[in-house]
Formats: sequence, structure tokens, C-alpha cells
Amino acid sequence: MGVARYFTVKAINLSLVLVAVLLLTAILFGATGLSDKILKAIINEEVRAYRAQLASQHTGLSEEEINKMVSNFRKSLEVQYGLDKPWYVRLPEMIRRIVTLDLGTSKHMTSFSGSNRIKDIIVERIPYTVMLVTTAVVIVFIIGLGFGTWLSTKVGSIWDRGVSLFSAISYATPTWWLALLLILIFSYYLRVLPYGGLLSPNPPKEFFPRLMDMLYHTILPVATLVLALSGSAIYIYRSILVSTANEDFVTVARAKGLPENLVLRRYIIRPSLHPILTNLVLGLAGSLTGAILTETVFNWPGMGRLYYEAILNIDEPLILALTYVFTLIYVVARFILEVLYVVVDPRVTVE
Amino acid sequence: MSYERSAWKIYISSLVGKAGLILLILMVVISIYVLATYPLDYGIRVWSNPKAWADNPITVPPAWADVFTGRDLVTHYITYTNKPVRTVDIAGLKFKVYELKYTLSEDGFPTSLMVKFFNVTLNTPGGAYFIINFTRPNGDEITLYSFNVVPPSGSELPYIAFAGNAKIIFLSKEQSVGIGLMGYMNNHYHLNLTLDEVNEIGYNRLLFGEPLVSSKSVEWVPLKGDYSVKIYMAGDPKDSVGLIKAVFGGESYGWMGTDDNARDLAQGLLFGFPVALAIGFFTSVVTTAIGAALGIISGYKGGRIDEIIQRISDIVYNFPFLPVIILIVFIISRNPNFPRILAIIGAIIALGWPGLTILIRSMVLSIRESQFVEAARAIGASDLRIMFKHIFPNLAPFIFAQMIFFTPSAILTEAALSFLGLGDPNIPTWGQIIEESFYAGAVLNGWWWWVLPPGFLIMLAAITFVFIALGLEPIVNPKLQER
Repeated sequence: MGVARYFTVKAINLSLVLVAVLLLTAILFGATGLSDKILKAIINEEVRAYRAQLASQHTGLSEEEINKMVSNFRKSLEVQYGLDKPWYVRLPEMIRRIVTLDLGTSKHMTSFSGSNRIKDIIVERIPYTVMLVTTAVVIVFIIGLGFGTWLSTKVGSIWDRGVSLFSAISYATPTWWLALLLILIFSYYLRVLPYGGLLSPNPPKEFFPRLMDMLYHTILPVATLVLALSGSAIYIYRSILVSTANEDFVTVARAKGLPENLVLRRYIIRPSLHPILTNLVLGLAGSLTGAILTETVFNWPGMGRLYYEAILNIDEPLILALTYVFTLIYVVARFILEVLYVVVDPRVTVE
Repeated sequence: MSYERSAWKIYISSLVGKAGLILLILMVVISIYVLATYPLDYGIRVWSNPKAWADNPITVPPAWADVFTGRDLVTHYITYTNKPVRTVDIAGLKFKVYELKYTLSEDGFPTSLMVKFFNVTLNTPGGAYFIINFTRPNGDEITLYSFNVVPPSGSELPYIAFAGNAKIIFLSKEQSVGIGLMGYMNNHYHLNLTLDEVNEIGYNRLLFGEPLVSSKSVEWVPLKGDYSVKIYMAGDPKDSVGLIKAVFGGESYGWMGTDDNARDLAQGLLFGFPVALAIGFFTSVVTTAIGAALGIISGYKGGRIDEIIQRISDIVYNFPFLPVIILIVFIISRNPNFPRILAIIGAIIALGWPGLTILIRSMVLSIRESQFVEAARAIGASDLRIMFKHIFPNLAPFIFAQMIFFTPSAILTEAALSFLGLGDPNIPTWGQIIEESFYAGAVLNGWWWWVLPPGFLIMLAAITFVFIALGLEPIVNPKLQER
């Protein structure tokens, strides 16, 4: 299988996921009448603008004439948006709206710059979520590989059993509760780290101090995610490395008298990277989930916190858009990892 | 030795298996106790009903919190009476005297004092007159409050006042109490205080404390000893009081403290046990049943059916779990008549089955080619019979272990949804208790007893099933045993 074909297959599979989520959301919103509600809100917005424009430009018009023109305008809009047709006829149009985030405005929430368009609100938050998740995933990967390698040389020891217990406990611990626990300890009792947010109330203006302030606020959210995810990462990486270490080619390498360091690097870690990456791919959904909840607790201005606020304010279009963007990010991240796959696994390119 | 017995031996020999089983038994026992003693509509009738908690203190830690504070916290105390202790003559009027006793033994001030009257029976149109006095440990009696109760004109006698709603007097807030205390402090301690000063100090400190006067300042220290609230009632001799309740507000409450609605957290936490078990059990059983059935069908039947099931399970398996589940539960919950708990369970099932289907399918593919399946087919067994009688029993232990392993993720997902504000408002769960604490700013105020125990219980419930699953692993996966 050539690289191009491999990527095409992967891309098609992942796009299918995206399409399925889009279809699911569009059907859910259509069947429950929520898509009508969203469209009506968009139309109301346009009608209001039209009325204001009429009133200011044609001062000679009577109240009655304006009302008539406005109601005609509303009717034409309803036809234009397809509100006169049943929801399933409008499915493709609805999907187009979701894909382009053309979902009107939010009732209660605004972007940092003050816009209340759904698109503006979400787009500016994406980097913060991506930053948080990426940092955490990279740290977890490093910790997992480091400790996992170390542990794989100590199978059956007290350390080994301790880590397996730790991994079971960290699996059972709700990430968001861990976040609350850490805030209680480090912010409320020890008063060494901030409760949450991205910056201090009066953040410094210069670039470097501002960056430091942001890093200071990043410590606890990242620490929470790392603590929550690293337990199982260490344990799984260790198991993968142990099973590679039992392979015949490792025994042969040792028999050849290669230095242990080289055996570890070239004969154990390198072939293990492939299953480890598979694991990273599967763990990505877990990291995103963890990020949604952690952002909520730390008032981190990403999409996860936005979810919480949208639920509190019962903001349907925002939730719809968030689900789509999360799925999109997930699919894109999966694809990037698939590319990495090819880099670490030469078998894909051969043949 | 039979398979079952050897399997049990292997299971019970593992430490985590034993720990998991003990924890599970503990949770089941607690759940049975809760189901036997709580009403089934507890969430609506008690937990979300402010009247049920009216006598409790607000956001106080549990009684054992004094381990951390280093001094005894004043315990919340409620006492009531409906029998007068004696009658006295004052200025020609006959008064019935009700007495409510209290002993302050801790080194602190009760946070509040509240008296409630229920069902006052009046036999004359003139009604009755009440005086509330307060006795301090040294025997001094201070008049705090007085009021009249008169039946509405034209009402039938005897008239019962305060039948539906109790008459509630917050003695630690009423201004007349402040004035009474001002006079008492002047007479007894020669301390001249203005009403503003009294308000600032807090009536509870004046009621239950005494001043330590130094050259510069006045410090209030708690006065330990026996107190009583005396209620004098004058009216027709036949007039009576159904119940008088006095609430001495504590700095601590019960086993688990209270939240900002004065709810006893111990009750909510206990109620969470059967709920968590039910959600975990029901969700994992249905998810596993669907996942396994589809996996067996897909693997055994092959062809078009296999293709369809594989495609769908592959797509659903790759959904970002939480965002999609949030969307589904959120949309279904827009319909207030639909039980939210079913929406949550349904959504977890809808997204949870594909993992098992993919696993089971690959296992069935190899079993399908085995001789006993071929033999069954040769003697003309139907597909359904082969899948049920020949393939399923071979996979049953594995499927069971997967069911146990899925339980914690069901419990954790419900908790996460509850934390995001999508929980069922009629059924209190641990996740919802934490959500409420988060919303009320519990971490900013250091109300640890409201945040930590529910999360700890979620963890405990999840780890119970993780342990059991780990204990089952060597049985299901015999290869591990050899290592």
C-alpha cells in the first residue's frame, strides 16, 4: 500500500466520522424543531435591521405601510431560508450552515472583542483549547515514555505494582474533581497558584511578563490533565515495551553483545513507538474530554468552558457549533497522528 | 475441580479482586439501606424542597471538622416542646410557661437562634399574647420579643393559627432583641453600647457570650453553661400551642455538613449510592448486550450484514465521546417531560457499544472456523442456535469482564454530565452535588466538605469496578497467568 493510498483511506474514514456527526446533529436539531428556532432567530435579526433601515430612510412612510413592507420582507425571508418546507428537505442547507458556522448570533454570550456572532465567539477560543490539550498530551507522552521505559526494566517489582495501582486510581478519578481538589490545595490553602482564568485581573502589558503571567495560569490546568492522563499512559506504554522486550530480535541483539543502551533505544523503543502512537490516537478523545471539563473548572477561555456556559444559558446554536468544531479538531488531530504513524513505521511506505 | 470453582479461586486469590468485591458488597448494602428508608421520589419531595431543610445551618462543615480547626465547633441543636412547665401570675394575668433548654459546652458561639410556633389554638376573639424570654447561665432573664395572635374577625372558634406555615422568629436578627440586649449589657456589665455597635457585634455573641473589657477594647468570649428560652403565653385557659421549636444554629452539622441550601449532605451522598449503582449497572448491561450481540452477528453472518455493522461501529467508535454525548443529552433535555436520566443512560449506550462489537467480531471470526461450530452446522442447527448455544458460551466470561470494565466509564460519564449541568434535576447524584458546590463558589470559599466527599465517592464507585475487572483478568485472559 502506497503512502498516498494509505492517507486517502484514512482521510476518507475520518471524513465519514465528521459527516456522520454532522448528519446526526442536523437530524437531531431538525426533528426536535430546534433548527426552526435558530432560523427564526436569524430572520428576526434581519427583519429588525430592515425595519430600522426603513424608518430612517423613508421618513414619509406611515406606520401601516412600514408594517406591510416588513411583513412582506419577512415572508420572502422565510421562503428564502426554507422555513416553509419541512426540516428534512432543509438538511443539506442546515449542514452547510453548521460547516460554515453560519448559525446566527448568541443571546447571552459575546466574543472577547464584543461580537455576538457564533462564529466569532468560537473561532477565537479554538487556539486556547488546542494549546491546553497539545501541551498536556506532549507532556503525558514524555512522562509515559520515560517512566514506562524505566518501569519495563522492573517488571513485577514493588514500583511496578505501585504504578499499576496508581493507573487504576487515576482512571477512576474524575478529571474535573481532581481539578477542584488541586485548586483547593494550591489556590485556597497554599495560595501559590491562581484559581483560574488565562491572565491576572490587571495583566502586564509587555510581551514577556504577559507570557509569564499566562504560563503561571497554565500550571494547574495542565498539571490536572497530566495527572489524570499519565497514570494509564505509563502503564500502557510499559506493557507495550515489555512485550517488545520479549521479542526474539531483542534477545538476538543482546546476544550479539550490543550495549544495553543501544538495545533499549533501537531494538525496544523504536519498534514500540508504533503501538504507542496507536494508543496516543485512541487517547486523544480522552484528552479532549478531559480538557472540556478542566477548562470549565479553571475558567480557561477555551471551547470547553464555552460548553459549560452555553449549557447554563441554554444556547442551542452555540452547542451545535461547539460539537461540530470539537469533532473537526478531533478529526484533524487524528489525521496528524496518522501522518506521524508513517514517519515512525517504515512498513507502511514499503510494499 | 469444576471451571467455576477454579475461576473463583483464581479471582479471590488476587488482592485487587478481593478489595473490589468487598467494596461492591459495601455499596450494595448501603444502597439497600437507602432504598428501604428513603422515599423513591426523595429528590423532588425532600432534596429539592427548601421546607425540608429550614431548620438546618447553611454551609457548615461536618461535626468531626474540629479535628482541623483545633477547637470544638458548636453543634447544631434543635429542641421542641408542647407542654407548659407551669403557670404563673403576672399583673393579674395567668401565663402558661413553656421552656426550651440548651447547654453550651463548646468554646464558640451558636451562630443563630430561631423560635418557631406551630398550630396555636385560640378560643376567644381576643386571642393570645406571647412573651419570649431568654435565661443565661447566671440565672438572668432577658425579655427578647413579644407578640399578639388574634383570630381574623368572623372566623370560627376555636381558631388554629400558624397551621400551614409556622410563625418563625429569628431572635438573632430581630431588632427588639438587640434593644433588649443593649439594656441588659448596660445593667449587668455596665457596658454602654449603641444599637449600631450591637448590630455589628452580632446578637448571637451577646446572647451566648460575655464581654472581656480591657483598657482599650471589648472582646467577646463564649459563656458556657445552661441557657433556656422561656415562652410565656396569656389568653384563654384552654388556648394551647401545638409545638414550639427552638433552633440553636451550630458551626457544624451531622456527618457531612450542609450546603448553601442548608441540606444535610450526608443524606444526598447516601442517596447517590443506589443511583450510581443503578446507572452503572443498567448502562453497562444494555451496552454490553447490544455490543456483544452485534459483534456475534457481524462475525458469524459475514457478508453484507457484517459490512454494515462494521462501518457503523467504526464510525461511532471514532466519535469524540463527550462533545457528542453533551449534544444529545442537551437536545433531548429541551423537552422537560422526558426523564433526563433516561436521556443520559440512552446517550451513553448509543455511543458505548461499538468498542465491544469490534472486539467480539474479531474473536467470533476465529471461533466460526472451529470444529464444534462446523459440527453443529453439519447436523442442521439454525444460525440463531449456533450463535446462542455454541459461540456465546465461549465468549461469555470475556463479555462479562467487559461489562464490569464498562461500568466505571458509565458512572464517570454520568458524573461528568451532571457536573456540566446536564444532570437529572429530580434525582440527586454525586456529580450534581459537586456541580452545585462549584456553581456556589465552594472552592473559592474553602467549603471542602461540599466538594471533596462526593468526588471521593465517585472515585470509590468507579474503582470498585476497576478492581473487580482487574481481578477477573487472569480468568478471562489465561495468558496473563503464565507471566
